[in-house]
Amino acid sequence: MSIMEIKGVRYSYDNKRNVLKGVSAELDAGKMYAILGPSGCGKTTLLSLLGGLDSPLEGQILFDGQDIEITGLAAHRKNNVAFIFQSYNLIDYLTPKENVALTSKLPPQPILERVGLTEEESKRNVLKLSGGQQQRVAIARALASDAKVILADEPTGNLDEDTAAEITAILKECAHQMNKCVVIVTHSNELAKQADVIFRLKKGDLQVAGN
Amino acid sequence: MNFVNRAFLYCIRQKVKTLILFLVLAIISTFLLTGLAIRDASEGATEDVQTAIGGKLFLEIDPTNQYDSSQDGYGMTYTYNGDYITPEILDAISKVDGVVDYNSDNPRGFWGAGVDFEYLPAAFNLSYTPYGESSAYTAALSSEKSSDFESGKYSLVDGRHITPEDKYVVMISKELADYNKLSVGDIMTMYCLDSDSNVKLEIIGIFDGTEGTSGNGGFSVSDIPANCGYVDYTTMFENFGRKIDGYTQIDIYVEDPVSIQNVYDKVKNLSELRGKSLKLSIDTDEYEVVQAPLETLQSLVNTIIVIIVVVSSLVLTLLLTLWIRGRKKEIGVYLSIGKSKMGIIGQFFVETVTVAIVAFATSVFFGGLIAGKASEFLVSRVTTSAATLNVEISATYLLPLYLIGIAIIAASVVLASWTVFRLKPRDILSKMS
Amino acid sequence: MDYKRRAGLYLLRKKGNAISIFLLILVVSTFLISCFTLLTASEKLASDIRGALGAAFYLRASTGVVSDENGEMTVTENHIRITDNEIKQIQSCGDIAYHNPINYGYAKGEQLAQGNPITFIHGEKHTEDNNMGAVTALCYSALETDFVDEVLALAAGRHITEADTNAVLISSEVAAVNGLSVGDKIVLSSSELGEADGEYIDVWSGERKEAGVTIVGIYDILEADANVTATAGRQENRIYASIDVLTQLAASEPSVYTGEVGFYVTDPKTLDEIVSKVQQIEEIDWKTHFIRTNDFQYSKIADSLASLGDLIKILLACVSIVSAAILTLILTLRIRGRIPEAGILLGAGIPKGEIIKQFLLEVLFVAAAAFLFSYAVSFKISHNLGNYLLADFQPNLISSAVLQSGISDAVNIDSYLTLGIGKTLLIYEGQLIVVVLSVLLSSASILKLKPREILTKMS
Repeated sequence: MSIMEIKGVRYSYDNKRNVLKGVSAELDAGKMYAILGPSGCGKTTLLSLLGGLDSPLEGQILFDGQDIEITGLAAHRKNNVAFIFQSYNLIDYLTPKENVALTSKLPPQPILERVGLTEEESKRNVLKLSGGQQQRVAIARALASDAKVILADEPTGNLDEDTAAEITAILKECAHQMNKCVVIVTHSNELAKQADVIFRLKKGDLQVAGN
Repeated sequence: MNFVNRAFLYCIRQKVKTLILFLVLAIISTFLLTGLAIRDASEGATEDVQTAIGGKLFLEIDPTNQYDSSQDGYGMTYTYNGDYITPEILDAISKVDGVVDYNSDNPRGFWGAGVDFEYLPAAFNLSYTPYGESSAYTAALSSEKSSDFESGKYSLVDGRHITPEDKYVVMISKELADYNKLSVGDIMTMYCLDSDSNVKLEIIGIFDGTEGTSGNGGFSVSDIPANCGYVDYTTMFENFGRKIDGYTQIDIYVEDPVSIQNVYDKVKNLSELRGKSLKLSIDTDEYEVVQAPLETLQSLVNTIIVIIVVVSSLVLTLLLTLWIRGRKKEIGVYLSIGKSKMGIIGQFFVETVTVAIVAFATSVFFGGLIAGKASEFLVSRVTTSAATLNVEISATYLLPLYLIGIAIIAASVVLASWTVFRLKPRDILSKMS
Repeated sequence: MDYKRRAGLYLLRKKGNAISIFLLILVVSTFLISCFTLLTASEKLASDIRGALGAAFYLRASTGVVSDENGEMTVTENHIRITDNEIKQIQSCGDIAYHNPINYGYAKGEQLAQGNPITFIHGEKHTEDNNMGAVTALCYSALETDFVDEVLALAAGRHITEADTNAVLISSEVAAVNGLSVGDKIVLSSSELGEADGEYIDVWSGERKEAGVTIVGIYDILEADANVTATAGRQENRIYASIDVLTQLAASEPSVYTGEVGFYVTDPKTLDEIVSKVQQIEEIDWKTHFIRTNDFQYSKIADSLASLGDLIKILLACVSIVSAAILTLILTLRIRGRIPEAGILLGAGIPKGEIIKQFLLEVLFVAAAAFLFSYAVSFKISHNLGNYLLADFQPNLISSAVLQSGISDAVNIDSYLTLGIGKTLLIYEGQLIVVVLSVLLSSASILKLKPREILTKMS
């Protein structure tokens, strides 16, 4: 059974021009999804709706078969989803370890090692880490939260090609080995190619582009 | 785009930040203006206290080497043969700048027995005159300044005080007036033993403060305070029994006890006093009692103002430093695209000074408003209408205050920017992640 | 990780920010404490000024002037009769520095050593029988009218105070004639002046009592009275005695006073209030007694002095408001600068309440440290200011030392510049409220942050 389901979701900023017009999709645990599309097509909007940051005008977002509007958006954000941003968004006065500990009571070091940070790197000032390392910390923080769904907004947008590939690999590992449902919003075909399922968002419509 | 344009755009686009800077500057400058206005007003209040308490000069005959001695049946008699304080001298003194009043008291200088009235009876009544016992009167130039009135022991309840121009007038106690059903305007006739004549005196004032004191060991009629009044000097001079050439002492009242030395010098150098056997001295006893706390009080207000100025400057510097350090990233961007350091400082300076000028203008308005309210409050609190204390913004402070303000702004901007410039553009940008 | 740990780490890692807030609160609280310390000093100075000018009220016997059917005027003179009990009640009505009850009588005297009778300065119709002086028994001779008016002045020795017993002041004339000086002991005996057949005689009817007294001071006459009078009526023959002397001579009942009683209030501002309370005392017969007040000296400057005090208060109101405003503005600025951080934390699933709690805890911790420091700093500042302001300051106050010798006490500078713990705490409390409110108010912008904006603003 799919972990998340999008059912006929319509969204508009001004109630005239629809950004999303009746979008539907099913998302499963253990898979990595990519949502491709040009800038301003509504990718981030869709991600916000999945993350419970906003509500659709029409349609439903289901998690474990239940409408998140009914179970509560705040609870959904707190328990079910974790975000990863293009600009990493780490708290600059906390070390990687402490940033990971923000969302979890689990020991942070094993998680950080899992995404490829050494013990020494985990104690440094986050601003002294490279972009790839910072994004690894952000992923570790998302993993630590125990959320079943990881929503990533252009996670490799600020990174060079090699590092982007590494980060993509880590996200893939999250889906396949840790049974997370990873949803990545991107305009990078390179990244999208790594996904199990690729959606294309065009003129407010979501289509499956391939596996 | 030059730095003036950038500064202007910053102010327009960053409305909230600009507003906060504006508020801080407006508050501080309003605060300083109000503080200075209050300091001026408090100086006024201090002066009022000083004037109310006043200071006085004391002019008296100098008896040193001025005595004639003669042998008579009772032993040696000494007679003062020096100069007296003449009406001409008094006239000259009253014209000296800073002199507000003068008085000479001659306690028990005139004695009179009641012809058409009776004194309050004493324990022992002795009749020296055909009209019974005499009572004593103090001769005064300005009875208001006589010690019993100055100390508050007596107070005038009807009529007016004796002034230097008065002739043949008397002030009596309320008790004596009641006892004889006398009131202001009535004429009292007294028999004076020294001149062996009946003297007619017009009652010009009635004072109280004597009631209940007749039991204080009152021995004869003149020991009962209620029987002792005040007369003018002419009455005393013309009924003394011998010729008097002038006053033996006068108190000269000075407007401001602080500048009493000035007035002293002026009086001392009057041509009318030169070479006369008269002694002038300063008497600020009453003022000295309050001088120390009063002066300390004033310097305390000044200290608070100094603290306010220092703290305001500190807060302003601190705020501007935070302000500019918060714009590190912006500085980094400008440096990286090759803008000059002077240009960046110039931009910040133009921004803050523009805001400051608007804030200063607002502060004049609000300072005036607060000063007005403060004045109203003060007026509502005082009980007499005599107090005319005003709190107002003085124009003389505006320019120096604002120049100092701009200087502080300039210094803070340069200092704060410099701490950022020490970093390399690369570091500034990388620090921002 | 809970908010407490985050707050701690923020303070530890963001030292610059923490220090600038610390400095701000330190400056503001030191400023406030110093200013309020100066306010207390100014209040104390104003009360010194009032105290120096003084005010008094006198309990006197009322005199009634009545006219009979023939239009003859007669004076009905009431007599004062006040006891220690009533004085105690009057003193409980307010802050009264001194009270000076007076009894009057007459006494003859002899020298203790040789047993020679004291020779008083001869008045009219002097005889061996009327060789006596008028005795004024009181608590504080320095407060007696003739000394206050400078008709008399102390020439040697000291004044009589409440603590004295068997003490007298005599005139320099009587001292010279009898070869007496300060420290000598004399014996006074009961007598009463009367008149019969145009002669002054001693009319003492009871048993003659004696009182051994010590001369503690000798006075000079500055304004001589030319009045012709009996020996006992002469100024030179007046004896000022401690209040117990006339009781020993059986000329007055113990603890009963029949002369005017003066009460000298500590602060003239309280005179009216005290007097109105005194007038409520039922034990005093208000038909025969009345109160005369004197605060003339004070009333002349009362308004100006009050205005001066008001001005300082207005200034401090401005100081407080401005401090609060600056504190609010700068804290608001700081919190607003942390909106992105709040967004990240929100995005990581940390509730808003926790974030605000963290910000609050940080500021409170810094504030607590700043308060501790400011206490020490302002203590030092006030002390230095005090030394600077009050270096040459010698208040000229009526104190018991002044009443005895005319030398005022040395002033304790620190006593002028001590802000009570209560007031200091109040200043801290006020600042805490301002700090907490500004954090909460500026956190409102975090509360308003819509979840939807977290992604757009953060990315």
